[in-house]
Amino acid sequence: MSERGARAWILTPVWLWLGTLVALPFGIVAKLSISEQALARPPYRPLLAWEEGGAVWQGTLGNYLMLATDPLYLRALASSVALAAGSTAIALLVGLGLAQAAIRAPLRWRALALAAIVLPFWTPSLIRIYAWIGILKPEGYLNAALRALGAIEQPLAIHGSWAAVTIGLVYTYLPFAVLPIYAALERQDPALAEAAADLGCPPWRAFWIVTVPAAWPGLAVGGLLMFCPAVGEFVVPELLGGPGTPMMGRVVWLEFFNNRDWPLASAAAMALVAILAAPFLIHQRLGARR
Amino acid sequence: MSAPIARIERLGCRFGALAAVDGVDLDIAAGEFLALLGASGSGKSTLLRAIAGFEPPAEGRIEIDGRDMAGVPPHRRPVNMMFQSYALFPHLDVASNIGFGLRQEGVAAAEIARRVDEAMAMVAIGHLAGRKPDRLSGGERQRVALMRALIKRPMLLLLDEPLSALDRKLRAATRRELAAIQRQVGIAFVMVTHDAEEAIGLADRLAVMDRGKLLQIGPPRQVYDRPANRRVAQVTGEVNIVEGSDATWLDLGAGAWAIRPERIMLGERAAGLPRGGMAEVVELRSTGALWQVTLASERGARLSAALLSSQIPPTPGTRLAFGFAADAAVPVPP
Repeated sequence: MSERGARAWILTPVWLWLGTLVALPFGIVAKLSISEQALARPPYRPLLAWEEGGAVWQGTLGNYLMLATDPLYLRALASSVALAAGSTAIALLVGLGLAQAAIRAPLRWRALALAAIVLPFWTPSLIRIYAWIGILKPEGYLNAALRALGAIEQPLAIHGSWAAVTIGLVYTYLPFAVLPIYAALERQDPALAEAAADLGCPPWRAFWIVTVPAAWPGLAVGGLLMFCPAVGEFVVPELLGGPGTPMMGRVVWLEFFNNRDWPLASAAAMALVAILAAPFLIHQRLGARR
Repeated sequence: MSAPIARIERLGCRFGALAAVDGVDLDIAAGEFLALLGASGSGKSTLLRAIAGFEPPAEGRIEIDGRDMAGVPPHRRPVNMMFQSYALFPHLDVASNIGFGLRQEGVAAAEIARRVDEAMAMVAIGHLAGRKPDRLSGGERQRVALMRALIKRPMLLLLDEPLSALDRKLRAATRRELAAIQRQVGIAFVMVTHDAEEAIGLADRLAVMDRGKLLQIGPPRQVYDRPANRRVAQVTGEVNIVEGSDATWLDLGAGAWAIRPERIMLGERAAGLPRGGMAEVVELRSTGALWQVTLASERGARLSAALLSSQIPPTPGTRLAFGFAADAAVPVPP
């Protein structure tokens, strides 16, 4: 077999995977998103209808128009991005602290520290988020503790708020942010921080102006790995959020299952994909420039 | 020696039970080029890091410019260091890397720009000002690291194996450049190296370290020619250590003696020299610049001699006369 033939053969599974599990479903969702809803089974009209005189185009951009004009969806979109971005920023900060602490720890503690970060992932996310309800609800553990301490008289309404969703997102996706940061910091030449100190930079400042920027690739990957699933998150806003915290993941779910509006749900999903593509493109552009 | 700019007294650094630096006394003069020579693990890098403030001493004291450095963190010490890995900041371009130290001091931007330009001009890297370190060659990185450490005009510049990351040819050129820069700026340089040739070629004074102890310090040629003990003789270059019955063979007294290979003369050149005898040539190798000749006595004692490759080498298997001057053999206690 020629070398080129062998290479094509090796890549076949990759193309099969991309074709059947990425391109094909994406095409189906794209097609659904420009279809019209119908009281039928499946609940949409085909793009082409056969009538006398030939095929008739039944596609529509109405779903996208609806998304773009209805404030409900725009709010869901905006709050999805804001919640995901905010919790990603918090997770990156927490992740920097955790990763730095793990690296400073003696070698035999490092593995344990990393395991402790990943360990919560061994229980299903649904259960972990339910546990947060128990902590955050008005008669939950947090309010009980604060009241016992005399810090508050009325319970704090955290459950159902932005804060609750942010806590849930940070908690759920923290390992995605920590591990790339840890990898980047561990690879970093320890002489970098020493060189900064040697040139007159106090340690805390050296951390922010040398250690962190030099670990930028890890931060970017960690941020992307967390931001993307967080934008489309469904479970956290469903269980910890409320009417004030609409998110696109929930919108897609509601349109799909409650309203049986598959085309609108698909259009919402496509909008989400477009939003998610943006940070990737920016990252790639930055990567090309470096 | 003029008044020392740095004084190190009975300095000791420990890693657990290991004494990495053990009772080192050392004065560093203003404007001198001092080389710390030793094998890996000899404590030379630890000593350098202790001066920079990265290794807390277990005992003794370090005084720089009359100030005791105990408890003074690295960022407040009047010394700068050039790291073996260079440790250039990957996210900053060449000019920002070099200007980093001045920015920490809060020097005005215009003044920083002027001094960075000056520093870049000194090593002819002005055209690289906007490049990130990952787009530089090894030699270019080395220059950036040197200028970044020099720009604050420290009392003392510490250099950790500054040439080891360069290939051989570049190393020779860079060595000359380093010597020229040191003379030009007049700052005291303390260089750590495991390369004897480099240390002897660059330094005004050579300090030899082994197992945490400072074994000998002095002008490089003096240390090379009159090593105080066996370890110094071995660390500073190729050497024959002759002892016991081999020493009697060469008419040397009891104890161990060090003889540099290039001090041993062969054939006609050996005539009239006070020490020597007859030996068989058992091996001949060329290093390019030198012939390395291995001689053997009848009783099997080995001696290596070196001669310039412009000379006619002896033929392996033949017996010939060899000799050396009386001062070529130096007594070396173990």
